[in-house]
Amino acid sequence: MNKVVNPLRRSLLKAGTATMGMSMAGIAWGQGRDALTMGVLSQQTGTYAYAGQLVLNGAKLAIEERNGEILGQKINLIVRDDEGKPAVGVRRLSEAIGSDKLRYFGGNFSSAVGLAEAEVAQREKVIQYAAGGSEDFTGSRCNDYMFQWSAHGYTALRTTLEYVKQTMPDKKRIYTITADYAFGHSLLRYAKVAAQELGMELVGNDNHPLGERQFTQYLTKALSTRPDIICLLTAGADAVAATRQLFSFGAKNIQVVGPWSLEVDQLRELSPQMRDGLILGLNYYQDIDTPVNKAFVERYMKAHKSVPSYAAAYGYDSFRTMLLAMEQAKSTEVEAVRKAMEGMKYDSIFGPISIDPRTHQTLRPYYVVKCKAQADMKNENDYATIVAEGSKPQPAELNECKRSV
Amino acid sequence: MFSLFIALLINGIAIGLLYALMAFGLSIIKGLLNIPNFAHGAFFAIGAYICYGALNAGLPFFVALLLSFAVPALVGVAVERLGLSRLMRESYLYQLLFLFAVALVLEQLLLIIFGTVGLSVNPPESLAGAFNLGFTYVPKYLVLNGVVAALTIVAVWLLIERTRLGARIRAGIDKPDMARCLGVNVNRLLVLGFALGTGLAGFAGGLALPLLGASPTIGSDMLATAFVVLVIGGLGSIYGAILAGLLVGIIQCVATLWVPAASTVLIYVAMVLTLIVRPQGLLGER
Amino acid sequence: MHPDKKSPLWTMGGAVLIALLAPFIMPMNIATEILIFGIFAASTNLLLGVSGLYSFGQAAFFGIGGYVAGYCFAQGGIPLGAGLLLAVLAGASVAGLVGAISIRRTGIYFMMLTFAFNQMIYYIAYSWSSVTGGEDGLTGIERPGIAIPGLGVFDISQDANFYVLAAVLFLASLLFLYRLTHSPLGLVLEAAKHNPRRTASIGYSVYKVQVYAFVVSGALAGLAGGLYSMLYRIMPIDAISWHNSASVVFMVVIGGMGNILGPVFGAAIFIWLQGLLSLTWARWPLLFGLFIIVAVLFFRGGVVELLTRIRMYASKQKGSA
Repeated sequence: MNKVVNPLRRSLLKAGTATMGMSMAGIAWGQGRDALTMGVLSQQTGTYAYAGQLVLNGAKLAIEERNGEILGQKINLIVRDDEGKPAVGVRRLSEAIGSDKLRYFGGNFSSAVGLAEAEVAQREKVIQYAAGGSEDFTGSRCNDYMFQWSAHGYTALRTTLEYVKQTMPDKKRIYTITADYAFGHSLLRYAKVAAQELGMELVGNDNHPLGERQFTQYLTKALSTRPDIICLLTAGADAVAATRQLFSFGAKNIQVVGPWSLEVDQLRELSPQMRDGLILGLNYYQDIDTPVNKAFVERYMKAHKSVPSYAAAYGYDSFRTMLLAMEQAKSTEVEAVRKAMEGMKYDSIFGPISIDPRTHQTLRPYYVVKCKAQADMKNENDYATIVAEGSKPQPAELNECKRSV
Repeated sequence: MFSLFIALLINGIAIGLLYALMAFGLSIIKGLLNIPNFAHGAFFAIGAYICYGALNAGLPFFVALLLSFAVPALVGVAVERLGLSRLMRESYLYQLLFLFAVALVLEQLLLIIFGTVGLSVNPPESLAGAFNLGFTYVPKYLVLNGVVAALTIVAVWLLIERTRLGARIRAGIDKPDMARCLGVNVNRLLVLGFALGTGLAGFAGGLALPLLGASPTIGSDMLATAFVVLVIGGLGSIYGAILAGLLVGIIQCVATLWVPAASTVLIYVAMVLTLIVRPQGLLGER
Repeated sequence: MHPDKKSPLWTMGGAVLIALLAPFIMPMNIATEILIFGIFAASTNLLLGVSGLYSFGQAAFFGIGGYVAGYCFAQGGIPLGAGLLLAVLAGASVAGLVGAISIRRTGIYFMMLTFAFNQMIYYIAYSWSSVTGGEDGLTGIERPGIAIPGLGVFDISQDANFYVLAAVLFLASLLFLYRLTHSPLGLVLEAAKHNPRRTASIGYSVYKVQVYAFVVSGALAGLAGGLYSMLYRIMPIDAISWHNSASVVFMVVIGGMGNILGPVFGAAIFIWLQGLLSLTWARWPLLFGLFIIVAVLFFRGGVVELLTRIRMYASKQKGSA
């Protein structure tokens, strides 16, 4: 452009327009003065995108149970999309704490995001009830304000492999396919520990990058070692891809085990033939037989016309527990509530459980299910039967948390 | 060890043919319009989702495949007519950004229409299971994938080399001004070429659906690899992409045997070396 | 282009105005992020706009700077200045290397080379997870205080103070780029953009000058990356991916390539828009893509052209009344 323009006017004009435009960004999110702000920070895009809405559904149910208020204070629930990225999560969390006075949150079960957010929680002194497979939540990166809702990786692996050993004692050789980040590495570590305890053998492992779609080369390699069991230490869309491609190999005498892998939401994506016979370890399954869970499932089905899965149960139970803690502490102040949560014994969707006061691990059962063939399904949600349950906690000598109570 | 190598080689060839198919379309577009199609991955994704939709609606598999070619081709026509043609005279920076934005828009539309959950579909009944070669299993569908991809490439090759339309396309690529003088409607050719390219990408997506599924990120995952194939095969040659696709597929699969973490870096190293040492690629001429 | 004597004052004045006003009209962290990407975009413009080198791999240098600084600050014990200096040097040297190799080719080959290097560096960062954290990103980054002799420690863990640091570095970078663009070196770069052969025939080494542009661009990108790592105290893997490279090219094009403030505006619009839209709709990239399509099809001069057109339209109206 060769127009000769007065530079003064051009610069001022630019600056002026920019100012006008940006003033709109300073929109304040107004809310009631005395409301308690709790937040669901989860993802609407990416590998666990399906989960974002589900966690929110669960959290809302927990809040509605109490008519939207606790100890006379109104609850303001905010929702933020962290896109499954740690940096975005950190940023959204910081913004929410600053502008919306967020004090309690949960929502993303990507371990990377949860761990990044935990640092903010510690610094800003807000309570996080996290989920996610990494052991670092209650291990090397434990902190005063972050609690872990999901079972520990050790419990998951031990419970699942123990079932396999008991029902298929001659299947001993395990090949693992692992998601290459904090979560996967944790699971692999405990796969080794549990296998050793149970006398099973890990014959090989492949790490795959998050978001991998091409599993055929890993599977070819796995099959060449002639394993009895292929263990999928990966979750979300990646696990679906791996299962789908494994099915196309048609290897009938290899048992596929996913100790912390496919959830009900992903099972829906697979055809019944692909699911038949899968042994899965789950943090939650809708058939859990406790009064609290039965009530939850009923209310969830009425509200959303579908069965709740891990994500929804996490949203519900984590928020329900935080509200219970506030009740017990008779306060909504963070310091009082977190002390109440440490060592708290309460009734949950898993029945009576407690929270470890030092590591902040929720000590709760883990479930093993076996997927049904299509002919055996009583209705479209009847994917599997609960075949085992276990709650053996992580051996104390393996825990790296440096907190003291 | 050797048997594993062979198994991975077979795997690599099958995947490589898929890459080749996609890169073939990319190189036709590069040849005719002289831009790398940053939206190519999005067209692959459209093909995958359309195939899913068609199969879900109960249509037979080969109809679904035809649709996964046709729909992206039509979208390609729209993109070319409404946008690219207007930017022809501008520097290619704007064309690139336009295509990049188109990819963004298309992928978001797919997310809105089909949701964020990944979708999967079984291979057709007759092709379920695997060939047991003794030392390894090769999924039957993988073989079909490779065969259909190869046949399609041959068909398009015949189109380009042996038909009058193909002759015009070649003229449009080599000497567009001369072609115009001879009465060839080059503008129409550009639309056709773009549509052919995007159609091939979509077809690859539909063909790969039973293997890779349809998910929101599948487009950008394939895009980067397609570019590598394009460069190694030759930015100046439309057939180099085929050879390069096979090579990249094989390298990627076989590398998982020895250096799984580095298998992707290796491919980009190959890309850089090609650009420095032999920028016209394997089969291109300068 | 004749550097107007008034120009530098008004251009820098505009920049100062932005830096002063921003934190009052938007959340502090957004304002800081805009300044950081302002540096990044302006440095990219040195290659895109001034030199005509369409580099599609700038995020590599941004990311390297971020990881180097981030690693230093996560370890602890390394002063702020040293960490940022290392980030600058890292960005500069890698950029110099990439530039030296890539400039040997032109047009689309050059672009593909920068893309390929970006991908390579991305995958190296991804795999070297013991240092970079891989997929999870580099966490635990602290903001070391600045010891000012006689005045005590300037604590940048306060967001407002961190903004001041970013603003100072932002203005310094813009001033440096401005001086460079209007120096003889800048003129040679421009000449080489229009006609490399003729420029070389007059006796200038186009190659050397362009590599130097890469080095400067990489240095400032590294600086921006270093600041970014401290902003959220985490260095994510996607900051070094080619999506970030494409984003910064958007910023430059949308803002306007002919002027040093253009890319800053581009950065501001991009980040502000992103921040605003992402709160309202999960599918916000759709609107974003449409915005870019409209901008590319109709407003190729960027924001600067849009504003000038508005002005011209307004003055035409006045004239006819």
